[in-house]
Amino acid sequence: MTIRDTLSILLLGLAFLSPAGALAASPWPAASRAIVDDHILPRYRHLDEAAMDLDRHSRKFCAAPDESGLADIRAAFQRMMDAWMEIQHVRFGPVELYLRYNRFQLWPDKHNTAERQLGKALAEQDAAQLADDKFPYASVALQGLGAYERLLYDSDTDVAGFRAGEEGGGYPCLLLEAIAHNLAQMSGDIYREWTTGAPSYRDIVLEAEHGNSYFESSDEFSARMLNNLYTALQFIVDQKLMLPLGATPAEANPRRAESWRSRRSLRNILLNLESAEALYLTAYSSPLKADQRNAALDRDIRKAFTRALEAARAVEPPLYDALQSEARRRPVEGLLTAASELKRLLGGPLPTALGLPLGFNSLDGD
Amino acid sequence: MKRAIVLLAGLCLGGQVSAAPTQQAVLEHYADLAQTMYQDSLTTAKALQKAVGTLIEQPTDKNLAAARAAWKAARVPYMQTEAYRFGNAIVDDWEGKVNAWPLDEGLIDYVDASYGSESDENPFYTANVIANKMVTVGGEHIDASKITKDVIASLQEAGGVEANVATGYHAVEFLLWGQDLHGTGPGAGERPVTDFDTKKCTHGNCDRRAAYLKAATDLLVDDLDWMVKQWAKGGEARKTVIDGGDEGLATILTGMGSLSYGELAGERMKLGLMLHDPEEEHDCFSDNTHFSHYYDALGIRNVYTGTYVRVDGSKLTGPSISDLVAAKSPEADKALRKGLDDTLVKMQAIVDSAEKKGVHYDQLIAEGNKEGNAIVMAAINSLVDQTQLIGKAVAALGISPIEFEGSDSLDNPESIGK
Repeated sequence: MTIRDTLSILLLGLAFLSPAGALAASPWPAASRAIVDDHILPRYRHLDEAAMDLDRHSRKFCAAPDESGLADIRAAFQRMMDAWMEIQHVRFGPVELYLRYNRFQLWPDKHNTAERQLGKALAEQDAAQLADDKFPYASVALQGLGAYERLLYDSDTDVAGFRAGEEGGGYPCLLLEAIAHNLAQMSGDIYREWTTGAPSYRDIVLEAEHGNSYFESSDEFSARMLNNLYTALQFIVDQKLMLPLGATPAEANPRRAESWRSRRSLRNILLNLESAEALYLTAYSSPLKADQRNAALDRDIRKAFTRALEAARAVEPPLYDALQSEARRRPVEGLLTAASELKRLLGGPLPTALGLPLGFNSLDGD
Repeated sequence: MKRAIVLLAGLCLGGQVSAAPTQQAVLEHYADLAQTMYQDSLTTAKALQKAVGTLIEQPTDKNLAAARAAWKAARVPYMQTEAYRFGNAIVDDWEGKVNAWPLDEGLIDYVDASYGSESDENPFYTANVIANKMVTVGGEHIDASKITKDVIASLQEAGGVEANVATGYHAVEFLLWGQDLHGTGPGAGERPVTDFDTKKCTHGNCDRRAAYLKAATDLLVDDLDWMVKQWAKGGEARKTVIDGGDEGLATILTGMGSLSYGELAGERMKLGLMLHDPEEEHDCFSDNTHFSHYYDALGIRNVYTGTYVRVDGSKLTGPSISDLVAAKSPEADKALRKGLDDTLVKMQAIVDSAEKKGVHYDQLIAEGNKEGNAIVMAAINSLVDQTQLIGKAVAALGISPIEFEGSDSLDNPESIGK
């Protein structure tokens, strides 16, 4: 019931608020440009590099699977996850076309679909399904980072499982290669669609200043990214922390944590928070404090980011173990409190003060 | 400054505004509609209760078929009430008891090996209460030595996991049909009637299975009865709406938008389509999903137009939020009405596929069924479009912005894959 309870009807009356004075120039064209050039593009470039790296290492490992190769692709996977966590909060643009967001990662997997579908795929060993022109149309539960993680970190994973016979990799290896290649393909496409084409997504955002078929004004894009910023905190609080936490150590469900197999749940949250803070500072802090009346709110939000980041660093990883220990849970609860306060500030006071509507909620649902 | 302009505009349009019903009349009719739809849901659930009683007394194929038909009939009015769920906190807080989905059915009864034996998300994944008189997970003990309404109510969301659905329509559906083991191929669940036959019992524990079915059906009737009372004169749900003023109008539109967008287009349709997974089908045991989605869409239109055709065929009409929108912006009203009609056309195509061609929803979302995928995608796109039009109606009424319940990756649906 908790997710349903978060359903909010926000009657903020924003239309009647005039944040920076009616005559001051709008801050949103400049903020929009900064969001794209300083925040989004560098992170997608990093994602693209990490995905190409994962693709390369996967092929190398599968050419001759051995222990050092397995350690090698696990490290490449960790770097890829870092890059994804830095941009996971962006749900607008090329990443939402062709179901790419979900093809990168299906989580939480409420109905255990990955377990069932991956089990079936490994049993059937249908290599034809992995072809470049077929795999992108397969179930999203097979395509993304979650399936790759299961192949690398499941309890029964060993190098022998990746070997087919005398040389080269067997079906699990073919699947690893297909996933990595598909991720590299998507990452490249996302970056290209942001930067090239007529118009590119970058053009669309920059031209929103004068209105276009996507946006009536730069306000609309800025509001959209504000929604993504708030959603990032909602994702952390409601799903990454509250789902696994439970009321007591005995009721904790550490397998409901994101990336529990690779024991990087906490690192994911830390990287998410760092990116969220960067987005806030890039786009919203200056317009907010430009109005003297909101300077205190800006200070509160920056302080809340600092507290949440400190709280995340105060938890001893992995989250998987921390959740199940009476003593080690306290810092996790501290992180939940700090992140919840940040979420509150970003979801209510901030949009009201900026005069930007928060819009559709992209996480709720049954 | 802007507020003054809005008020002036209101004054200029005074003549037109007076043609519309009062806001209060609209809110009261909205509550009347709810009361009537829940009353119909209760009546049909009682018919289901009777059919289930007959089935347990005399487990014959004929009586099983009659119980299944009664379940399907009970879904018709209930699905139309779903437009009340989001926005009305009293409905949303209660709804999980009667219509929670999807469920990990291994909590309730035996399952096929293909279901799997464990889940990251759910420690009760294969608890099988019908076969086990005591369930213990993570320090939690549940005594199920006798299966009663109280016992199954206590199993609901066991361990804080929403997939532990022990009560409501879908629990009853699972007991009447059993798992659909046909994947994305033709066919629904094929539970044999002997699963309820204590003399020729199949799959064991037939007495406990029958007790579960009875308890779940009885509880469903109780829960619906409670909800009818909330919408009757003096009821809590009715009071909240009719005393709510502008917030009452926001409730109506939030309910329409959230069901259209996050819930129906997102969780119930898009997710299943991108997973090509029959488990993601809303009425997956009975293969009744086409009607389930159709009546959801119809319910949204009912609420907007203030119209409802009852199960006895009589028609209820009255002042609606459509009238209020039309008074402010005839274009916004016309566009939204058209959007709602378009969605029903797309939903009708899904119904026709199942009822006329025998190609059911789970087959439509199968991997490689491009034509089927496109039929489902067209309905999803239409729901997303109608959500935008609901947003414009909200703006026309000057009560924006509202946060609609959304879903991942719905804001810009494109063809699948690339």
